This record gives sequence, C-alpha cells and structure tokens, in this order.
Amino acid sequence: MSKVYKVLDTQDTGNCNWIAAAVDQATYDLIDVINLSLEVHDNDSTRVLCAPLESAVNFAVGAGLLVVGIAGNVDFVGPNVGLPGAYANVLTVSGLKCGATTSQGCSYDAVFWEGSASGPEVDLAAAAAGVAVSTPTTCSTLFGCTGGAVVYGDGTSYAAPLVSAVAAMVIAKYPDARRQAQALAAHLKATAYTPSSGADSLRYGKGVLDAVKALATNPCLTQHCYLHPDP
Amino acid sequence: MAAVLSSVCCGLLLLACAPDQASGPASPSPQLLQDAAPPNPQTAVLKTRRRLNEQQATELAGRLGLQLIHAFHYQNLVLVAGTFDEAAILSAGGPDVIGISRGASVRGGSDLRTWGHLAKPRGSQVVFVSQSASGVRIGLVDSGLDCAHPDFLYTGSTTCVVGRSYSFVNYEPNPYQDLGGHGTSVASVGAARVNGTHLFGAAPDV
Repeated sequence: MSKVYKVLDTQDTGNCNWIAAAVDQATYDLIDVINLSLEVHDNDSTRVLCAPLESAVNFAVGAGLLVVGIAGNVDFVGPNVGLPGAYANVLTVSGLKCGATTSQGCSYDAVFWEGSASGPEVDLAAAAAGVAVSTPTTCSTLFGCTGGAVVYGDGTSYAAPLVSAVAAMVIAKYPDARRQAQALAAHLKATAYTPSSGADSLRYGKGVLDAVKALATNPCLTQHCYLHPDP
Repeated sequence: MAAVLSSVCCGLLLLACAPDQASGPASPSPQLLQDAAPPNPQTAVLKTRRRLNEQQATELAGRLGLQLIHAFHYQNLVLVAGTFDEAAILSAGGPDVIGISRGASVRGGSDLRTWGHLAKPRGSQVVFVSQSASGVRIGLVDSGLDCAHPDFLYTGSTTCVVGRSYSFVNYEPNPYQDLGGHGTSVASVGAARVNGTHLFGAAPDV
C-alpha cells in the first residue's frame, strides 16, 4: 500500500469533501490505483450525492488513475449499489462468499454473498465474506483491542483491495497499461470468469475477478490505450 | 443541514459497530484465528532467502517433511502443507528458510484466503498467482493505516512500508495511526507484507 489518504476518523466516519480532497491529492500524486472501500450516506443511511467526490473521481480517471470502489453492504445502505460505487467511472466490486472448501482452502467460485449490494452498476465480483484481515495493534472502534491479531471479517470493503491488488500486478507486468484507467477496467472485466452458478450481471457484473487471465495478456493489446497529458 | 457522513462498510462480523449501524441480522463475533480448532493438515507460507523454482521448492518441502502446494515465482515464497513445528522447520530449513507465515489453515486461513480466490479455480484446485506489483502505487483512501503493525513493516525493521501520506481529517492529523480500524484491515487484504507473521495480502510487495 503505497500511500494512505486518511479521510475517516476514529468512528470510521468522515465527510464527502475530505474524500474528494483525498482523491484530488492522489491524482496530483499520480499514483496508479485508488482504493475506495467506503460508502457515502447521511446520518440515517440514506444515499446522498456527493458532487465534489464525483468530480474528483472523474478527474482522476481522466488522468488515467484506476478508481476501485464497492457495491456496499446491504445492512449499511440497503440492497442497491451505494456511492461512490454507483458513479460511472468507478470500477465497482460486489462481494462473494466461500463456495466450497477444498484441500487447499476456500474456493471462492462465486457464491454471491447476500450481504453485498447489487445492481446494474456492479462491474466485477470478488471475495468479501469470511476474509481474514489484520487489525490495528492499537485499540480501534471497529475491532476493539485485538492487539494486531488476524480476524475474519465480512464486507465488500475487502473485495475492492483484491481488485486493486490485481490491477497493480497487471500494471507491474505490462507498464503500457500504467494510468490507462479505462483500458485496465475494461481488461479486468473482460478477463473475469462466469461463475458456475451462471452469469448474473446485477450480482457479478461481468463476472468474477480472475488474476491469472488478467495477467495473461497485455491490456493494451485488446483495449484502447491512449496517450494522455499528465494533469 | 445534516452533516454528511461517509462511513465505511462495517462488516457483519465486526465487533464494534456503533449500535445504530448494527441494525442487520445478529452478528457473530470475530473469530480470532488462534482460537480456531487446529485443522489438519495445515498450510503455511515459508519465506525463503532466495527465489526457488518448482523443483527447488519441492526439494525444500521434502527435506522438511512437507508437501509443496505452490512456489511463488516472483517472490521468495513457498506455500506448503503438513504438520508444523515452526522451530524445527526454521532449524531444518537451514539457511534457506527465513520465515514462516502461519495462522492459515486449510479450512480457510489467512494466507490461503488471501491468495486462493484471485483466480478461477481449476476443478477443486485453488489457483495461485505469482506476480510482483513492485513499483506500482495504490492509494488507500480510508481511516488511515496502523504503521506499527508488523504486516506493514519492512522485514526485520521498524520502518513502515507506506510512502508519504496525508490526513484530511482535521482533528486527526496522523495517517499512520488507525483508530477506526477499517483502513488497516482493508490494506492487509491487498498489501500485507510477507514477513512471517499475521497474514499477507494479494500483492504483498505493492
């Protein structure tokens, strides 16, 4: 994780303008991938528009930064995709749960996690439920005082960084694709696989993240990569 | 005008969601890995001094009485299964093995979960991915990151791997501290380092 843009406080809450400012800063920093594992809503969990954030996201993607966001969690803002996931320029990830346990661990062969929001804005699906995560060494609002231990967590928040990580690997392998947000997003969708339960665009978007296939070809061979001025 | 809050996706399992956020179904408590029933066989990731090819990794695993599951071609890592005695492995592994990442069980432990679902399973086989993401920069827009956590320190060092960071929370200026907890957990899924402790992320060298 190369840079951290803190926008959420001790209560894991923040505001629209901070997030927009963080995305602007990330664009200025010319990083490669922005991970937005968060949802914007008001005090009673109603989805709200956040115009500065949408504008910042559009600018970031225009500059070629891939912006990865989440479908959101049903128990948080309901069954529909939240914001910023619903912005057109965000690569929006819904959540899967463990489909089968194999001798080598959990196979996430695409069983939709019922806690994940869904809708036409979903682009990709990745593991979200029962994901092992590290907790802070300090006490935290979300995890209490676990002293840095590993716990299992559920949330589409954990699906997004998987997609961000695979995008980072693709960029590392194919430097042509660096800051080609549109091509990267299209490539990750085009290389996703249809789960054994069948296609379902509202739940899985174009399908389930497949790092092997994504890494097998240069995105710029099949997608339109272009020269763009640095902002 | 009501303040606009932007709050994160607090997982169902997580401990300390504020009561008004925990209106969903009753939430099970987080399960500490060390409390899980010891599964058998177990898996672990060995960190090796140099990068091993498939044959070298097989030899190493055989020497330790373990089964090779995967040699990560772009990192100094070998995923193995078997019954572990960490001290014995570190001593029998000689100069080759310099760390073990445990806590992962076949049933669904940290390391395996973090890797196994990145690609389409081949039959019942989990497919692993080896590709460095070194030199690429991911920006974590979240509640900060606990830079004291071993998952984000360079091996054998107290230096945090995160580059120059920012806080946009005017009353909490330190981005390297995570009192909310969400950012550290999200970062660990993507980028926890391989350092013989806790877990490692999908792109541990990003």
